[in-house]
Amino acid sequence: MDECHITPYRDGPLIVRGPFKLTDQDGNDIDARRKTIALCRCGRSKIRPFCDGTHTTTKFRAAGGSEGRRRT
Amino acid sequence: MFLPDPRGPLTRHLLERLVQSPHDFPSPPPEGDPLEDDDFHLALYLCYELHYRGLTGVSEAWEWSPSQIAFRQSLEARFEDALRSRIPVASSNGDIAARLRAVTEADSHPSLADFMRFQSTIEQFKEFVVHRSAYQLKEADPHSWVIPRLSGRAKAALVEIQADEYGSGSAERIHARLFANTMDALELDSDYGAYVDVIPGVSLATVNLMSMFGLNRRLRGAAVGHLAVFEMTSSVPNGKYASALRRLGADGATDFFDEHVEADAAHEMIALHDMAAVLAEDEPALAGDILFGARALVDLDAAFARHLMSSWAAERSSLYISDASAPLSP
Repeated sequence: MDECHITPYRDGPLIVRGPFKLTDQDGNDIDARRKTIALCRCGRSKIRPFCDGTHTTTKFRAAGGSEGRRRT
Repeated sequence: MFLPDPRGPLTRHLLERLVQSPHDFPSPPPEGDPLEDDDFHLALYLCYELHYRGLTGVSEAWEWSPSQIAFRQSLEARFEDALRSRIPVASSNGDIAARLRAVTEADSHPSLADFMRFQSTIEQFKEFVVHRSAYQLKEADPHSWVIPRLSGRAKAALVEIQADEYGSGSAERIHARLFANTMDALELDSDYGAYVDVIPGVSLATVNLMSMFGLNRRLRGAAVGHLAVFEMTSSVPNGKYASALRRLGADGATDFFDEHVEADAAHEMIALHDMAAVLAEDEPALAGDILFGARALVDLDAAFARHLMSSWAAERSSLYISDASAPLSP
């Protein structure tokens, strides 16, 4: 995979695959530790920006793709 | 793995033969509860171990010896029949991802992870780790049998998960190695199979389930459903196990559990949507078995949790202790 893919999964996190660099807002590296990572989308994770599965306990619901956008 | 002591007629029968050169032998008559009997599940575990790391002092040719395979199949048939009769047949219609999610959400068995997090003693946590060692020291291996049986997107998804389980090229990050590190930190013996003599049938059954699904191509749907629910029900409990270790002052033992919080949050999505749901599209006839595998996991894990918590409530060890009064065949 030569480009980064970011995928919102239904009722779950954003899955990031491919070459990516994860940093904090000051540009410092955040060690992702793996090639495919899950980023929190429900806001409840205790290890943000990573997903810790908490969405499964809160009945978080979201589409497995783009939702709610208005074209300008 | 070293050879454990026999626990009853099935293991006695099997062990007496395995120490000899491969030869024909009759399968013994079925005995014991095929869902959790100690003798039954140790016998089946030993048959499967011939396909994993082997057994010390046992000819490697036993792996495909017809009489050993026939013995294993006689146990598998009873195990699978018992599971299928306990687990209601699910209609295979509808959105498989939603139905797998429903299997996990309907699971109302008492939470072992909550007990561990808030109440367990360090001795109880160590017992829990000993039980889990029957699987975690070969973590991911049973589902790897399924790789050549899938194709396309479902296969790519399974391999994506397995590559992470196996450390993505780093031997130190292989999940089984991380588990061994946890055992070492808890001053347990992390040698493969070191505790097989004290692990009861109810725990071995959870591992035999995966091996049966993995080693029988016809059960590939069940293996995929099993892995999907395994990943879906992993992150949150592993966070609780890590919390338990911190509460108990064993901070050096948490890496395995912390790793699984993050890793399985990603694996969950891949397993559910890219593997299980795609397999159900590719092979619609497998949808029923995908759900069967998922429910079988929940069912046996519930029995495992009940066993640990009821043993501890009665202030007993949850490990298998050989009972000299147990009836053994002569």
